[in-house]
Amino acid sequence: MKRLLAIGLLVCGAALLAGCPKKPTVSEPASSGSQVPASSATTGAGNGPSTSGSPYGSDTAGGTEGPGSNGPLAGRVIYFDFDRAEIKPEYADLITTFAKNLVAHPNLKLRLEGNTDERGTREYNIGLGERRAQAVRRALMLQGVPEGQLTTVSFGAERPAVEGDDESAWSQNRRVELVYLP
Amino acid sequence: MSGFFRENGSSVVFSVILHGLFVAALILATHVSFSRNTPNQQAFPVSATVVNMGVLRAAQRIKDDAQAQAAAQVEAAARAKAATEAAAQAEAAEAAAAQTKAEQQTKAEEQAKARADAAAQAEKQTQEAKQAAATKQAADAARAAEAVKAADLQKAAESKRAAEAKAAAEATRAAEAKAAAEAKAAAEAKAAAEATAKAADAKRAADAKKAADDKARAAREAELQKQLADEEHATQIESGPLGDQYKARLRSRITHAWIKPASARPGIDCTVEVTQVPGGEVTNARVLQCNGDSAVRQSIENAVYRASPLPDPPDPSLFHRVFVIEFTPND
Amino acid sequence: MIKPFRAFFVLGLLAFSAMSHAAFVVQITSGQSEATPIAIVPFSTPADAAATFDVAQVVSDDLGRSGRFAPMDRKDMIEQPHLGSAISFDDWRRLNNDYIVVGQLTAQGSDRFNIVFELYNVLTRQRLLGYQISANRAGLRLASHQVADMIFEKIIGVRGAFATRIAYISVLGRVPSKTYRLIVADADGENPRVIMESHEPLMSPAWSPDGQSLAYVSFEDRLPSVYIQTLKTGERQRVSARAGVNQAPAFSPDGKKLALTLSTRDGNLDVYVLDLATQGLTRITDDPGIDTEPQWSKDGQSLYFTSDRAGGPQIYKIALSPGSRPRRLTFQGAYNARPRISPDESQMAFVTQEDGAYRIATMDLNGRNDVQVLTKGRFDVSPSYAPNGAVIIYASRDNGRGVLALVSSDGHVQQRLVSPEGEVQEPAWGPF
Repeated sequence: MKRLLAIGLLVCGAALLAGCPKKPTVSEPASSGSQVPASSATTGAGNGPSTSGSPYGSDTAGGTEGPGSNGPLAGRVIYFDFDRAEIKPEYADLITTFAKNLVAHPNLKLRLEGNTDERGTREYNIGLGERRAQAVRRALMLQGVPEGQLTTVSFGAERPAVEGDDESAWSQNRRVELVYLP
Repeated sequence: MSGFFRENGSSVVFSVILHGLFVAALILATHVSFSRNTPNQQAFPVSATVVNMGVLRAAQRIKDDAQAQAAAQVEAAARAKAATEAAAQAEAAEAAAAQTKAEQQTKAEEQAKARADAAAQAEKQTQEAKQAAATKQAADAARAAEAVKAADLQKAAESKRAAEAKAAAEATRAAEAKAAAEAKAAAEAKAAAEATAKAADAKRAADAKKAADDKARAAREAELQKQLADEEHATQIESGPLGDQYKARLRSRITHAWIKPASARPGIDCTVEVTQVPGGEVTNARVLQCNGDSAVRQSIENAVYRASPLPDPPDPSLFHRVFVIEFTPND
Repeated sequence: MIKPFRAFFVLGLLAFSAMSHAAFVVQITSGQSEATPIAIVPFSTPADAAATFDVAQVVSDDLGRSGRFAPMDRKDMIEQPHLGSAISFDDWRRLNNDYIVVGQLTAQGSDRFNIVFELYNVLTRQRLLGYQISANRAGLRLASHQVADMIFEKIIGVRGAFATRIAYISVLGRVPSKTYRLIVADADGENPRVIMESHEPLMSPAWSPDGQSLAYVSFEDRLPSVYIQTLKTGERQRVSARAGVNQAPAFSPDGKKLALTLSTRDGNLDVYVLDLATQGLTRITDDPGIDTEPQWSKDGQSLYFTSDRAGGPQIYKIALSPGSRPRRLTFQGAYNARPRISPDESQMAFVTQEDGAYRIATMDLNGRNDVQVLTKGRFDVSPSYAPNGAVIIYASRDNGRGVLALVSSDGHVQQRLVSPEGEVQEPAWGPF
């Protein structure tokens, strides 16, 4: 009985080892003897070889999209205190500027990307980032921006603007980015 | 000490036999409770189930001696009785042969029957005495003496009857009968004297043996007393600072040798019987009872071997060839 | 009669002295939590050097990594027996081993091997195990893990988890060109295989109960969506891409449902249950706070989850019957999140904040909910139980780099896993 079980496990294990394909566009990390067929059974995006920029829209309406590039993003980011989602008073003007622009151009769409610093659990941070994006959304709507022109997304701690384990890095990651969509 | 024994020899011997029985009974009770395997840790070290091999063997020896001695006593009594019976029977046959009338023969037969009954009764008494002798040595001696006495009495009664028969037969017989009776009387007296002498010899032998046995028993009693005194001494030491020190050394050694598995949680209660030789080398470790899983059992057995050789006791009387370790993890 | 009374008096004294003599018992209340010393002697190998495999090395590494065993260095082995009958126990005892493993690896034909091994207790000289396993060349590593499992279970009394797998996220590169990979590897980190790769974040890998699929979150569609991928075929299925947030997937114990977090239009995160067959969606929480990170109870009738409805993240439990109210479980500290339940549901692991640091803690679910903090790092997150419940894998940071580490569920043993390059995070331990 035990032997049958061992053999069965072995067969399953061997089958598992043998039957796992990898995506063809990947340069595989050094591994020992995994036989992988070249077939790719993938759907969806994400296998583009682009290494710079993000697929999230072009750079119309001013500034490049690269997250972390401070210069062009100046005036497009709202920063938050640790574990908070309230918009600090110093960003009131920024909100107003964006609101006016959006109201004046009804075809413009704005995406609000919420982010957190790396501390805490990742999934809870998705919620925190979403909460921050929502705060900005509400503030814009209060200034007359129609709901349909705004979308929110949360990256949580997954897309830090600045790498680092200290407060200076963290303070730059707790942010909502205001990104115009094409 | 020996004066005391001489004065109250029988009662001391009596008491020691009772003591032996008591210990035997205790052992029996102990054996029963072990096989029930009760997990109550309180009962085990505190109950009066002393299993000290020395005391046990001494008691067993005394018991055996008492039994052997009683058997010897019975044997002596039986021998005396047999001698008496033989003499009585020979005489009865003679009386019957001297008579010519069937009436006398019947009477003799009746007498023989009566004597056979008496003999059977004596036999029965002997059996009863045999059974009783196993526990009461003094009673046996008394009964032996009584049997001899009864045999003597019986013989006197029988010879009296024989004399009466002879007197009745004298009317029909002449001097031959009288001479035969006289000769028979002389033979009877001789046989009776022989039987009496034999019985007296047997009694003297029994007395001598009894004295010897008493002496031997006294010696064993003294040895037992000494052993008990030694144990008293050891108990005192064990409950004193030296005993505490020895236990602490053992505790430390075994604690350091015990690799405690994760499943040895509070609530686990396992005991291991350890056998060591002088010098502390462990020759056997046996798990007695354990409410833990196989990892716990392996670990405590291993711990004992890993702790070998065990530390020497500070006083030699503290050394236990076999003792028990109880594992009750509290963290 | 005076004589018998005297006799009984003497008897009574003797008996009393016997009763007052107590038995000699030594009581032990603690021991050592050190590792059990064991010698795993290199197995004999087939003549063909190319076909050989070091079974003993895999076994030794497995047992050593568990923290419960201290394998002997083979440099110190004066002799190397391959059979129990060839073991001179006194020698191995002198070298301070409690157990010894000997064995042989033989070739049985083309690509067919036999592993034979025996486990002995050096102290009692008792033979504890003797087994034979067949495997082909590719399966020898797995067979070696199975040998380690058997030895572990025999001595420790807990089923070994050396032949299982882990999944984790690896992140290479820096902004703006990061590469995210979902990787499945053996429980010891060997044989890593990339399951999914993307330039957008990947998160939250979750094993199906049968070990055939992984659910995870991918940002490739410009918003976090939940995918389920079958490992053998690589087939992917997008199971939830609703507007807003789709994340924190968790398979039910019967594998037919998925608990996950969705957001409403105004961004309120709540816990839902998705029936994978019917696509029916059931809302479980309805609260303005962030409700996320759901985990199933063993009977599939309740969910544990994180919620900050009380101001900061705490862990709650709610029954799945309609109208149930959640019950709060954590009360110590201001931040308790990401519950993971041990396979027998006797214990819950989670992330707790202590003195500004994030650490792995456990709560005893059977008793008085005692909490024990297991780790001492600054960023210890993402705990996941091994299927035998004895050890927890988690993500930690070492010199600014994300690494994987192990801690035993009682906190006594800590180990670092050798991690590949880049950042490694969010480990998930597969089932048996």
